[in-house]
Amino acid sequence: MELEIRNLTKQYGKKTAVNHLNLSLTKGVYGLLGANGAGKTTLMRLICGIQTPSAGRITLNGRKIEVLGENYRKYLGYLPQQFPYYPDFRASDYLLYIAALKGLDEKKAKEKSKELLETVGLTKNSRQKIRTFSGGMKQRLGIAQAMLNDPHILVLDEPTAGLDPKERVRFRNLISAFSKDRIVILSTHIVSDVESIAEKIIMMKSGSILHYGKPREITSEIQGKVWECVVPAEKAEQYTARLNVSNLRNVDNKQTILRIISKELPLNGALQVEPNLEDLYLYYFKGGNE
Amino acid sequence: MGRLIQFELRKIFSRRLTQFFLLALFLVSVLFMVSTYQNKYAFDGISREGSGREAVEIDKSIAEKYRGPLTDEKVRQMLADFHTESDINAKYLYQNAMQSAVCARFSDIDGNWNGQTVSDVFGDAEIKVGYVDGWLGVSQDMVRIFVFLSLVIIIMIAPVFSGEYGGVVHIILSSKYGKTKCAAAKIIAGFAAAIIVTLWILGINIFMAFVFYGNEGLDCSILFAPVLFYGRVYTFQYNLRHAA
Repeated sequence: MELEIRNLTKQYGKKTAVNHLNLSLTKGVYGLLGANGAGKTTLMRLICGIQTPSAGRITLNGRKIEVLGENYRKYLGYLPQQFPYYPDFRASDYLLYIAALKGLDEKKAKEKSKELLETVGLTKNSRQKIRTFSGGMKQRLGIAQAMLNDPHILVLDEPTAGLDPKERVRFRNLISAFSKDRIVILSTHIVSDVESIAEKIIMMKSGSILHYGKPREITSEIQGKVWECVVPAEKAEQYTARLNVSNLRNVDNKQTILRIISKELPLNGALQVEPNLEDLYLYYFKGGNE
Repeated sequence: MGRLIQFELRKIFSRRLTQFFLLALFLVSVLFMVSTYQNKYAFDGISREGSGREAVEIDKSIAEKYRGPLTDEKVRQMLADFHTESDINAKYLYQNAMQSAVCARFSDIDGNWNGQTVSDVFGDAEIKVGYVDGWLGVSQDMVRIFVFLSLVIIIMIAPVFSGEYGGVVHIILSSKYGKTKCAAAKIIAGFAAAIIVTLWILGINIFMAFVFYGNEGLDCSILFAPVLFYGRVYTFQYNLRHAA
């Protein structure tokens, strides 16, 4: 299975949300990173056929997704950024409704709903109305609805928003297990989530791809530009204001370890450390490259 | 498709706004029915007079006396039985449903026969006399209830498409049937919901009519109605007469 994006462009008036984007996706988990307004959500909506591109095309195994229609959408699972729901529906009814939309027969829909409610830990709440759910519970239900049809292409926009650390770990494990022989695209601001499960990272800025590759490959871009330095605690705030600090950790009341992104030695005594995705993210989106 | 329609119907009827307006519609129906029943008035022309339940009983007993086909003899008998001295034009005088029905068509302003025969007024249609006032009152209330009903249906149906724009639309449009069967299911569910609610309110009113007025007069002609309905349901009578 190959999802190919060629010269994809989406414009809203004069604003270009996705700008001549080219990408080829085969099985695996793809992490989509970018600041707000980078074009991640628009790209996901274009992939899901919710919006039509201003130019360019998306093909699945060489055939345009618009032409494939139902035969493309039957392979899709999508979780939008803010999980929408019907407040007066019970969790189980909601899943059955989405299953009907996805074309699952009644028996399979019931089996799959039950199975997924168990997977996301909502079995006990299946008869509860969704409006009574907490943010995390709604998000888990959203993940369940996206997976109802065993999608070959799973698109998740901010899936870990609202999940507590335990739920996030469970979600990461779920996606890792699910992603075999499938294309999973997920966007999140929580870089550590992407880092732990994504095989490839797509970093977007202003509607274009800034970086595309394996986490280790793309972090090599800032190799030698990440430093750690111990400073007096009272001066930490002053340095944070002046430098691009990706992390700050107090070791005791008197000293603080700063993780700094800088092309040159930022402070005397600073030591180079291995960069991670969060450093890369801040390098591009906190003006570190400018 | 069937399941999609079911779910769309569930969405329509599970909305709190829909439930609130359906309850309001039910209460309006009950209010109209009770109000019409309580406001019934009848005087048998001799001594018995009353309102509400008593009035219905009086009208039923009078109707029983003249039960059967309306003839010129019966008309003159009724005019004689209900004759009364009054300054008011006898056509508009209301003592009871039967008196009103006969005077509205067959009397002059003094309550005497105006020379019109049954065939002059109703043509060849056979007019069966009986107690029709109660059911006519129900039908008149239904006209008013249907105005409320149409508003409730608009409120119910409006969010069928627009209600999805809270974000659910993205899930719908990315699903297999989101751009095809879902739209058709929504349209069918909209019509079905309108029909279901119409039948429901119709059922409630018919049930209450049976409770309040019984089944008397269902086989009788509503053309021979009291003056209260004579003008208001003129178009209805006109159509029936022409259809016959």
